[in-house]
Amino acid sequence: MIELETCSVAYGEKTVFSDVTVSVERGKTLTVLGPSGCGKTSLLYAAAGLIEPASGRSTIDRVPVLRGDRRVGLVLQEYGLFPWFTVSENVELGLRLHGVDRGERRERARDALAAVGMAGAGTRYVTTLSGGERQRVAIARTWALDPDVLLMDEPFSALDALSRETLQDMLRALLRKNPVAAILVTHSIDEAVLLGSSIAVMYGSPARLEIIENTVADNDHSRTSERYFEAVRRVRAVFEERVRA
Amino acid sequence: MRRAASFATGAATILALWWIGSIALDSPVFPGPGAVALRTLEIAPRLAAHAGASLARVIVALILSVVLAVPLGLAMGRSRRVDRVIAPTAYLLYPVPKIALLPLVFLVVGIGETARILIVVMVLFFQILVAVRDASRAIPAGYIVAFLSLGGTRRQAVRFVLLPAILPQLLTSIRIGTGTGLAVLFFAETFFTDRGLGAFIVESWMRVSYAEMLSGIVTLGLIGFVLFAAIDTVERRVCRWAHAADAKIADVRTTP
Repeated sequence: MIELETCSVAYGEKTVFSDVTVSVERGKTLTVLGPSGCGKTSLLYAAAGLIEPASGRSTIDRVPVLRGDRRVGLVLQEYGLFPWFTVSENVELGLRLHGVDRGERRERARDALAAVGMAGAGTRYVTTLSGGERQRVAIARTWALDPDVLLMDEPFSALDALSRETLQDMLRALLRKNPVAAILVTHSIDEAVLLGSSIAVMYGSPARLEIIENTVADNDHSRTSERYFEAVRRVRAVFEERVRA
Repeated sequence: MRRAASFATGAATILALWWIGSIALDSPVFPGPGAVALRTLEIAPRLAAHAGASLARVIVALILSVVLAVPLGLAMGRSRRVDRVIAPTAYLLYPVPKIALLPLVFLVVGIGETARILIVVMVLFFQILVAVRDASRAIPAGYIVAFLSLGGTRRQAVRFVLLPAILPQLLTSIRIGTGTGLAVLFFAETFFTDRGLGAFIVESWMRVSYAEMLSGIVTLGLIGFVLFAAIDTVERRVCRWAHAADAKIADVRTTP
């Protein structure tokens, strides 16, 4: 379980959010919705140990998260993959930095790429991949590390609608197969409802969180079901009320 | 293969223009390529020694420039504080024609090899410094975040992120700087030395040996070409990734 405990983040004089407490259990996904600049990415980076909170802390199973913690996998919207490495080298990089030997690295990279439908693409350069393929590789890179927690910063926002749906389905399948605790930042209410066991609406300055339990939170529902539409409507109502206020 | 053929075409064009020019001018100051080639064969050992001296100076200057400018350029690009301290000085010195400093360099460090290498370093250093600083500053923060999140340290980021990211711009700056460096070296070799192509060309000119003078000029041009081609080859090899997307587009264009 990942927990942010009374966590505050400030840049100079500006407090982004203060005393935020939120936790995500293994097998659950928290999706974070909010307007641009409200602090969603800062929340994610604080959870990943990439920024030092002004107060509070991020823990996984009560153990503090440090920068580069192997228990955490981070997927970014873009610039996550290094164009000077091949797909395989990108996927192996985290393992290499953690001292995993070459043979094991190759095997785990191969398995992770197969899991995201990119088997056989190992020797290609990232610059030759489509946006959707790049995000598959980015997910494979975190997957290869076998993390306890998956953090994603708008991973599908730069993709076309069809690729986005395909990757959302792939992510749901991966999370069912390997139930880690996940936090996904998104701009899309539909995506938040589709992927989140619970949805955090982030609003205000300093930002606050309102957590909505997802009534269709089994990650196994269809985009056309009435329950799904009802959940989207409910979250949209809260979002508009909080954000517009 | 296609590249070699295009270079051969370029060389043939230059030779043809030279040959036509020498016939049109019909003057002993501008002998044709045939006469110059014959003279070059006769003086080959002497010419090779001069070419070797010039090449050694350029390569030493190149290595020194890279070793000095790359770490400083990276530091300036990644740290506002370092940039604030160094950038004003660099910006004031960058546009100063370094060749104008040659007398000062001779007076300060003496008339030996150091002066000639130093003047080329001064030319290359600033070009590489500015290119590396701009390239490292343009590296998206996302790369660093992604790298640190994977467990990398800031020191490892230099090897795995910063250096690969700046490599294309670094090699371009070296390629451009090499041409200017050779021009400056030619001038520097015309003072206080009898070794190097600069000294050889001017000495041939003074002896009214125009065929030798032209063979020196052609050799200097060839050194420039060889260095240029070598850097180009290194760039194509180590920056294969930068050309991968272009190759994909070219495939699409050429696929019927």
